[in-house]
Amino acid sequence: MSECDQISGMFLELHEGSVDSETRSRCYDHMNKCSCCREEFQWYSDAVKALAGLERVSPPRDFMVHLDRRLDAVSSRSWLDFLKDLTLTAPRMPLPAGMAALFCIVLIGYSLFRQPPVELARHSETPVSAEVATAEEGGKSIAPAPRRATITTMGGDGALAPAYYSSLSNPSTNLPRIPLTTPESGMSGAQAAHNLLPTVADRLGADNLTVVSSRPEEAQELLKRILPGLQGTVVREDLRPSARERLVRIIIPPDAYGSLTRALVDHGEIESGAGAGVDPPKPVQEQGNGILLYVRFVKPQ
Amino acid sequence: MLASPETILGGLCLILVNLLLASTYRPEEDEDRETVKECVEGNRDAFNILVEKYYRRIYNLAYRFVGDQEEANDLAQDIFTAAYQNLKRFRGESKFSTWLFQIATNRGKNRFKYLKRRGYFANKGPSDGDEDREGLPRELPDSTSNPEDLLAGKEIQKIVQEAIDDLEPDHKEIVILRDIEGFSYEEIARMLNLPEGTTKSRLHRARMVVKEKLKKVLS
Repeated sequence: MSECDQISGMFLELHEGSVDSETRSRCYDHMNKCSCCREEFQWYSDAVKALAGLERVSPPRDFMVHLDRRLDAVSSRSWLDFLKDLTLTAPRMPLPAGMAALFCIVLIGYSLFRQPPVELARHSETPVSAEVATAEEGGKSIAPAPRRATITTMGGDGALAPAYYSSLSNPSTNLPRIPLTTPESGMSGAQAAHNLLPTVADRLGADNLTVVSSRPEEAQELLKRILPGLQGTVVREDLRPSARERLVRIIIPPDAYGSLTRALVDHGEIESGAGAGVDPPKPVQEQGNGILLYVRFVKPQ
Repeated sequence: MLASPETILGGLCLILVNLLLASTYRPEEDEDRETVKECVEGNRDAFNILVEKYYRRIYNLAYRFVGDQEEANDLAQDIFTAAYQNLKRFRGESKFSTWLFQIATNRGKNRFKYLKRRGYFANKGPSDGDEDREGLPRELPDSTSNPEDLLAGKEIQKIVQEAIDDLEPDHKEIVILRDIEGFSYEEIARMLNLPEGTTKSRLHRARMVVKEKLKKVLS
């Protein structure tokens, strides 16, 4: 690096007088001899002088008025803007907001998981309902249709228990007036009324069950094995040879219904109700603190 | 494995020194501290006092960044709006003015880059009368003297502003803060989060660019 380069590299310090006296005299000695460096330093000083001498530009007269309006607009932000800032702009907020959101999600998920499956079903829409074939409004006749219900299942360990749907389990159902006879089904009016009136099963959200399984014996054994764990007991077992089916009468606590269906669904397709036949099982009844229900095991057709 | 007594003693000494330093630390004296406190508590009038105090300097700084009055007006308002919105985050570790000019510099630099990307300065081009500059005096004129000198002074101002417009953003901000606004190297280093040495070397390079531009036009 030539001496000229060294000198030009020290223009800033020389101009501001922040060099020691020895360096300063050395630089000025050089510039006395070197016209080029002298001229360059002069231009440098002029440039600094020109920069410092730039006129101050005045803001427009309405600057404060416009700024005031702008600040007003900023101050009166909507709660949506606030939320946006909370989650996007402020550097420290996304974490607490995210944590709170996560906590809410976990809380909702936990409460849903803890809710009995039957309750879930009751709160959901009713896919199958007890239907009235013809409604009577203002004197028209009513013929109650056979009651239908479906159990939907979600398989696998830890899955939700089968959800049970029945419009009759809804206590707010407005029941129509029941005629004495129902021409289509041939049922008596009393039978039809019996089918329509809310039963214990409807109130509890439970029903008799039919397990359609290729190995009904195994399924029945499973039932007997799991009942003690569910605080349930077998009351009676019937083999109905004519219909090639087994009928088991059990008592279980009402809250064990979900677990029961969850266990049985691994051994066959489950349908609600225990069939009609010659000696149809009675509707589910309350028995002390438990419910009395029939479980029918049949082979598939 | 247990540390040796010397290590423990050394650690204790270090903690003691840190505690002593912490106890002697006093935040920088700030004449705006009380006003800022009132602002944070929601007093809008207090903020207006601060605006009143600084808006001319901020506007001038904005103008030097963008070289246009209308853009400078918008930029200066943007700077104050940002300061108003972020005032709660101002922790008082530096002076309010330093913090405000830090916001201004950042916003100014960003606006300059944005305008440059959009070809704003290219479209503006060299200002009118480039040919007339041939007759400009070599010496920087004294703007308080006769009309001719005044006109020459205006022309020089225009050339210098153009030279500033041509600077790299990192050089430009230092020239504006040091040579135009008159901040100390220490303040500039704090505002830009740079070592003082880097600040000085950038300033030197920036001045050399302005010098070359002046030399080219005036000689």
